[in-house]
Amino acid sequence: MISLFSQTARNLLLTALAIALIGSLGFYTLIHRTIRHEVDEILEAQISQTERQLQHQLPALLAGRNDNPRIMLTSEVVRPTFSDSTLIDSLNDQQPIPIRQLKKTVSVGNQLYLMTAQLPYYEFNELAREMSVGVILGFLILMGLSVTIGLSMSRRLWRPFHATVELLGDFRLDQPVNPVLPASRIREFSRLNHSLNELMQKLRRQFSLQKQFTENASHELQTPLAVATAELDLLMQSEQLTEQDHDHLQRATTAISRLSQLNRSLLLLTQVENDQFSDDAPLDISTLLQQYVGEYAPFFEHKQLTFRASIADGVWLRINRQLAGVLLTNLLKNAVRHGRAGGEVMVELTAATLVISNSGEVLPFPADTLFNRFVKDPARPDSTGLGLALVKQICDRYGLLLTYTYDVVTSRHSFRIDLVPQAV
Amino acid sequence: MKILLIEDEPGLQSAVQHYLTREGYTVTTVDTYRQAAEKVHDYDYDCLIVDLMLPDGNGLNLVRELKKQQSTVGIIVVTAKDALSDKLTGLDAGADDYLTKPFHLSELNARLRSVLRRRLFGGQATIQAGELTLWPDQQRVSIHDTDIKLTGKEYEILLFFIANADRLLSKSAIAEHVWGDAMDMADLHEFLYTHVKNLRRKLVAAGCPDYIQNRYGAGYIFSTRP
Repeated sequence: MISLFSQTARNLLLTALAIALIGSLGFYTLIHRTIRHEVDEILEAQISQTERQLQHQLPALLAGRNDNPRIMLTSEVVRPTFSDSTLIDSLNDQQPIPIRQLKKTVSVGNQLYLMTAQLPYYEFNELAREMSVGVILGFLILMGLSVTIGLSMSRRLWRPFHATVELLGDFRLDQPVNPVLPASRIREFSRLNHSLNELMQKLRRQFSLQKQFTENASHELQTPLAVATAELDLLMQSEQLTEQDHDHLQRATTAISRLSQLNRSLLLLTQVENDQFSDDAPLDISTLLQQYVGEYAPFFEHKQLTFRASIADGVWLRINRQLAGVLLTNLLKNAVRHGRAGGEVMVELTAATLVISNSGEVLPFPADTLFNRFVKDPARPDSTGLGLALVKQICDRYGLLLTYTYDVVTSRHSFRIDLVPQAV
Repeated sequence: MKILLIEDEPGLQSAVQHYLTREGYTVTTVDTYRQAAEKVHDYDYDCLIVDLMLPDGNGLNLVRELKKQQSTVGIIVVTAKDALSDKLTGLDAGADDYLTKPFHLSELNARLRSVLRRRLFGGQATIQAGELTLWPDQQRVSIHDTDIKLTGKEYEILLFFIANADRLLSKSAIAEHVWGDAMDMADLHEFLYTHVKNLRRKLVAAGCPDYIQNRYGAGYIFSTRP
């Protein structure tokens, strides 16, 4: 991808070069032609001067004059012709020098004479060359200057545009405020910024409506779910139910349990997204983790998971207490749920990181979708597929870096959270 | 025992009323804040079950009002919101317990019993269930003056069974009561089975009749009736 700036520079330079090339050729030709025209006039003047001399003086005098123009007797009339040729310079290293000559017949008395006048070009050619070079150099310098000035001006003119683009790159819908686009006196840029501001506001409004909708929908679902749960509870007490009826009932109850769990997670997820957990306070993660590990120990035991924990004391983090709970329990829950029976679960907390890992088969889906919503192991269709999405959302909320790795050799899934917050 | 149920959703209102009436409570129902305020003013109740979001007001104000009058009535708050701050506000306002929709009727019943016990007997009361005697606040259970050693979770399960005696309890309801949403339901059913098996084994080993029965794999019934 080429930048507007270098594209402009390239175009300007190429055009300047082409103009310089064509211009200098044309200029050279023009000068050359003018000079030849002058030379021709001089040659004609010489011939007519000699003709006048011939008429006034006797032809006998002819022998005594120098041989330019040369005069020869002739019997036929030729049209006056100009031609270019070269002459060997006997004085200067036998160098060929370009000359111009004019042949013309004149009649004096009854005699026809053929006159040939010659004039070397060298002075004129040199003049033409020097003038051309001078003009071309001047032209090139002018071109170079105008390109440089033009480019530096355009660089300055485009500065607000680049600033805008930079700010747009950092734009996030869930930021609390719109980025302030730099003011510009240029109408186009100020229009661009104006439109972008409107666009961002519209998007943000739409986004918050969307989030509000999800939250309201989740709330509204709770009551019908409560009615269904209560009705099933009542129905279950009936004496007339067969074993098969109970089977159906149980399945309905389980499905409703799952639905309400799903709904709760979804609600929590939107609430985290909507920043509704603002009461952050320094929290002793070590103690909290100890407590949860204690609570989950029976589950590890039940699944015959070897459990190892190394929890450093006094690790504090500024975080909402409920969200910290969700974060830790969801990771532990995940380890119990997906840990291979008879395998190993490891919890390690240091001042800088929290690592929770469990042994298990490689993921049945691409690892980069692991934290997406509703991504779940096809073998465990009863998961909500929201647990790790919540973990990710909470980590993002606090600027904590969450990474997942799978070690093929030890077949171990690891979730690692850097407890030093990155810039949010 | 007189209960005032303040709930504007007719489906939930009738189901709760039905269940609690069968448990032997006298249940009065209202569905607006105004009616609730009148009833509370005119009659004495042992416990209030209050939905926070009522069409004409916030149930929390009723709780605050009652506490200002130093009423001794027990209060259980029910809400569709389950953010922690809502829960704390509810308890701060003076509610005794807090339930999030959706809930199992057996759960509401167990909470109700616990609130009433604390209100009426200051938590000192023992519970008699067949040959078992329980001290809920000491996590103690005994049979014929011999203590039975139970784990915390086993004790919770037993207490839940006794609160809902002679009712078929679904595995989901029991698991949710004991473990909340610590684990997904599918993992809990199997886990619950182990715990109930251990509880039964310990009770029977101590000389207690086997009060807990598995019903069609759908759930359990605790019954001291022969």
